[in-house]
Amino acid sequence: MGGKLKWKFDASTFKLLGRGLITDRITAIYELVKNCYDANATKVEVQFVDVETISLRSTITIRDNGQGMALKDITNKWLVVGTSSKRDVTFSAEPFHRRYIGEKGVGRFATDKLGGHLQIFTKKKDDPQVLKVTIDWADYDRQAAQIQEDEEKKLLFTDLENDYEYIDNDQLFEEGHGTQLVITILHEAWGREMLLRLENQLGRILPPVFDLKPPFNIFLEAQSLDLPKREVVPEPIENLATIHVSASFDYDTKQQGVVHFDDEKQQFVPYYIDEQSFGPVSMDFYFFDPEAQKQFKAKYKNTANYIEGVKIYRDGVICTPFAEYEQVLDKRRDVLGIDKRRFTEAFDKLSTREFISIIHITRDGNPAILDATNRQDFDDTLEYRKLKEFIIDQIDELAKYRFVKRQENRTRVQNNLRRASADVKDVSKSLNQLVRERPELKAVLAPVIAKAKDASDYVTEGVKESDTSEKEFLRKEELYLSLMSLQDFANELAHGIRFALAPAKQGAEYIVEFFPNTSLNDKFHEYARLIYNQTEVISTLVDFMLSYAQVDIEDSEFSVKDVINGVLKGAHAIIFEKEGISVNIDIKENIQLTGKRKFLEDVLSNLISNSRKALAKEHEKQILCESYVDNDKLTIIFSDNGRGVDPLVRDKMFEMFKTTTAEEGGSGLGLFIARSRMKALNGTIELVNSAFAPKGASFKLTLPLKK
Amino acid sequence: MANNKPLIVIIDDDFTKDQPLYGFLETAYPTENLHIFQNSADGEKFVEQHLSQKTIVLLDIMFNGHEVGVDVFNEISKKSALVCFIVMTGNIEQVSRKGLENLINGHAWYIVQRDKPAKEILGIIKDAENHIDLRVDGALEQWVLRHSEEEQKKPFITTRSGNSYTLLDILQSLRTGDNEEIGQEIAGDILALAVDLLMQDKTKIGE
Repeated sequence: MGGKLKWKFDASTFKLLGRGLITDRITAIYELVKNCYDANATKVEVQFVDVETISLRSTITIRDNGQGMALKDITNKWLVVGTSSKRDVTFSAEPFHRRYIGEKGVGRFATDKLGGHLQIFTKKKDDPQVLKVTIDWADYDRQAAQIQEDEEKKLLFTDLENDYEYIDNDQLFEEGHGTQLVITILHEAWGREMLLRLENQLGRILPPVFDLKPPFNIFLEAQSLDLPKREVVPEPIENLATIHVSASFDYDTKQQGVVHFDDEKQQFVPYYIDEQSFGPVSMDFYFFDPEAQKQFKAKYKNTANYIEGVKIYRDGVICTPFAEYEQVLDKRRDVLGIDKRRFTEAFDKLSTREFISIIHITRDGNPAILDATNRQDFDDTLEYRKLKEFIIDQIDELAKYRFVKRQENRTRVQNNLRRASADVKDVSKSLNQLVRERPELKAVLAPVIAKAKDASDYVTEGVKESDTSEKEFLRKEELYLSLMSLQDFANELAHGIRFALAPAKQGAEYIVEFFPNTSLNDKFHEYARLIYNQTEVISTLVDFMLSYAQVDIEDSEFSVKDVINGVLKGAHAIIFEKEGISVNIDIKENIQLTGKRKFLEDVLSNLISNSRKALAKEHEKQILCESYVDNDKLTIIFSDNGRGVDPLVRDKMFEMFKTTTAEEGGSGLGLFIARSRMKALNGTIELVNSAFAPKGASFKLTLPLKK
Repeated sequence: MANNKPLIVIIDDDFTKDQPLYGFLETAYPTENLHIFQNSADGEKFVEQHLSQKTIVLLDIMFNGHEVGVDVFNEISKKSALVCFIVMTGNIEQVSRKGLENLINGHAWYIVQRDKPAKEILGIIKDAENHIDLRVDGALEQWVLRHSEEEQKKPFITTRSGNSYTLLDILQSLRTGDNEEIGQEIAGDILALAVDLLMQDKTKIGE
């Protein structure tokens, strides 16, 4: 026996597509309005009647002046689940030429999320009558529940029947064509706040500055909630931003523009990088400083406008995130992980409440960025991950700007306070002088002089207090940062030790297993050596870890010149001579630093060790160490004319075990330790263009100077 | 292929021949069957070019801070459900929940921490090898591949409903692992037949 088997859909399938997939009511309305956009409507009216409490009169109506549907459209498209008509044709008819946005063919089930009963009224331009179709979701439910017991008679989705009829109604569509959805038996009541949020979200279906021709105007009305019919116009909330930065793709040079804050110029400057794997994007960032946030909150109190981070638009229509606003931060959808990052990293990261960003992508240009079917995120592809990282990089550039502004602000406030203090003292002085000249005024002015003295004392105290809290804040910030980096550090070291241990363990296991099989003698030797080397690596790691616990490494004042000379000319002089390395030191200014001298020595020693390996095969071996002061930073450039750094490891050379000198037995710890030490000194280390270019390598160390 | 052992493909950016685990593998498998790829794309390509051989992939997940291994797994699994994956990771906690879901739902054979004893890892590889050898669909695949290309393209079987399939169709269907298709149907029929034969004449078991 054999034959063919068919799929069947249980009658309750519609629930999966409606209630199950559409996460909230605003998304549901959005899905339906999106369909109006695809139907080439220029006008959509969304009307709520008696929705504040659920009753038989509660109704949601969505009416558009789009092309409408004939009976065959209803039977062949509307009632076909996952209909693909919009996937075959990508643009709607001229003059609209809209990129279809409803692609999955399930948006219409959104009506089930809203209410149990749906009536569709629709009319094409030349049809004499209006077609009315009734979809009774609630009745589906009832039917499905009744027959459920009997397996054989089980009701299938395709068995469900829907009534249709033609009716006369010339009034319904002003322009003679369109579609109207009437949803009743609502599942939930709608409050005014929810409708304001809806208004706000509908306003953002299209980006705020986007000139669509022909237009797509949305109207909202809820008389019973004191919301008279009004056009949904997005509030120009971006206008309140402190600064606006944008970057887009240059199609001529095929380069991607990025947000770039120039540290030296202290402003955003245009900057381009190679095209990215996720395709071209254009971006607008609006940053709000605390003052702007305050203004924003005051202006948009009791409206549903929020500063809420990144929104991504595809072909001019929003994809994510939209819909209901979540007041509780932890529950909020944070698709890019921006806020999560703030908890795990540091204070200098921006939160989504500080900026609005609008990212434009296109279906053709970014084919690997795909909407997840639940509309709340994107499919997790490699390209999407890259895009996320890319956007976060942009946000970090904004954070640099904020950092500079904060510093400026701090200085300004402190200067003002000091000036105020001086002014008040001046007043006291003048008054005292006046009394000296005209003693008769003493009695009259005494209370004023006393007040002035008090005021002067208060202001002086205030200035002092502000200085103290500033210092206290910095101390706490440093403490938190060091605790956090300690946690990262411990984590990194633990992984490092495990990683170094694994081959040693398995090597020992090999020897235990096969010794004394003489044919494997070479292997035994090899693994014994490996075990030895790995234990060396582990010892180095442990030493490094212990150095953090050492109490004797106290901060001290030292001369940078002494440290550099001490390491290069003292400790290593014999080795350099033996290996034929000539060393040049060029120190422009002798600077005194306060900090852990040993750490700087460690950094230099590790760089020397690297250079010696890189120079091993060179004839004229040179090391150059230069140092100069640049504004509030001390810079040390350490260079050699060795074989340079392999571009393949460039990006990860500061990570643990990513060695640049594997052939010479490098364990991949030197640069890792150098970076950790520089971090501990509040400094940085980076690879820069070689001073001996095209050969060699140069490392730039920067250390902050206290003014 | 000179031997009947599976290919052992190691895709891991930190793995080299110097590692003792490799020494252990050499004791169990011919060196020509062992292939190391530090670059994930090269490894993926190699496996895809050798789909006709029994293959066990030892796969690292984190490459340079990214879960590239999950993508390699997904890509190869799409092309053949018959490649056996052993996920070897330095630290399982680093793999995201989504990544783990992908691995489990895609039937990764085993997930093992890299610093486990080599013998334990070798044991898992042996288990995987047995698993491959015992799979009816795997055996069917080998059998199809023993035919010449010409033979593979000829109609081979016609079902009761009148559909005709070539050996190549069967191979394709076996590799996609789709339960509704001809390959799985044949594999199921073979098992049913075996059970039936055993039931009919119990005395001949093991002969």
